[in-house]
Amino acid sequence: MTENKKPKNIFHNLNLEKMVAFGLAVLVISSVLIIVFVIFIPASDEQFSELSLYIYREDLETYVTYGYPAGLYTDRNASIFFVVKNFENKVVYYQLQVKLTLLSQNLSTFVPLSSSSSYQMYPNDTYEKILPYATKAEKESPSQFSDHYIWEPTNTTLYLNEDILLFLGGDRSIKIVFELWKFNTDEDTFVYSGVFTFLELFVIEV
Amino acid sequence: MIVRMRKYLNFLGFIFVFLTVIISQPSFAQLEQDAANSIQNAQTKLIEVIILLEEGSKKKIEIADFVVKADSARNLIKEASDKYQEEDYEEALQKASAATEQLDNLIEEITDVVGSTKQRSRILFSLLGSISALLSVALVFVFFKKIYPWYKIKQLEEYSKLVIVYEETIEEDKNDRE
Repeated sequence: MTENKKPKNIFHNLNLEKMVAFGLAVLVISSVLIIVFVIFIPASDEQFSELSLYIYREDLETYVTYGYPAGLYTDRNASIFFVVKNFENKVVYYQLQVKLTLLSQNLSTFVPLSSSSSYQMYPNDTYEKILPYATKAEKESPSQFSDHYIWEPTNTTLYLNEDILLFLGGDRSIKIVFELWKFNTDEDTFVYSGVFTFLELFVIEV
Repeated sequence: MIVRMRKYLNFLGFIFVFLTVIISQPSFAQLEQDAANSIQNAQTKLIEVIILLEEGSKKKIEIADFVVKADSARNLIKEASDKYQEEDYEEALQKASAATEQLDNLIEEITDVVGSTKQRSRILFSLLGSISALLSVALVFVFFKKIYPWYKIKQLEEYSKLVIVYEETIEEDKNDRE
């Protein structure tokens, strides 16, 4: 007759001191991991603003992202619509500045176009709007044109005048740059957000 | 006589117009100043509202309606500025005052909501604090009543299994050296 005793549980063979030491080690390691994750690794929720340009197609009765004008005539205006979406996780007071510059001019996400290198198209009539922010669900599947966090398609008239032609000199290849600025409550002024988009156009004198 | 009367009336008319122009001049300048001050005041209030909205969004307060109202006030300030540029100071003053009133109401509304949210979170945290304090006391009680005695008994059981082994070989080594 043989006795075949099986251990009742996994800790059966461990003595008490080892169990206590093991428990303490688990407690310390898990505490350290929790502190590291909570403090040092920030929530990976991206914050950004979206700026896009559209053309209104009357035949389709909608805004499209193709068929942008290639030329800007001296005797007629062109119409472009811009849309801004707030994914910043906070309320933002936006300003949109429209500037004309030479095609060769470099653009930066850090510094806006200066007044010496560009012509501001609406100096006294800038576009401004205060926008609420999109929720996490809205961020994952955003609406296209109409929602509380969207600056709905807004018409901008692109034009040419004597001052612009004077600014361009003999150059006829231009960029129309749309810069997004945000109001900074600490600095009490609008600051460049680094978000921009542009159209490349050719000036056609009629 | 009639000619003299007419001259006299003309003179009176001239004096009236002259005095009106002189008197209205400072009030026109005053209106311009008032309009400018009112626009400035409304802009300051708008910034105050934006700061409150930013704080509100951090506290996860429902602010979409407030933002719409703030944007409407911003639009009114813009219109007031446009009227000021057109030298229509009376209209500018009216619009700026209306914007200021809207923003004052908005500040009050946001402050109320933030205040009630603070009150709610204070109650919630107090409740959580009380529960965790009670749990801690219960845990300490359980530890001293149940866990620590069990640990001591187990420790004694473990130590009772220990056997003292005398190293006889050490004594033998000493004898060998001698």
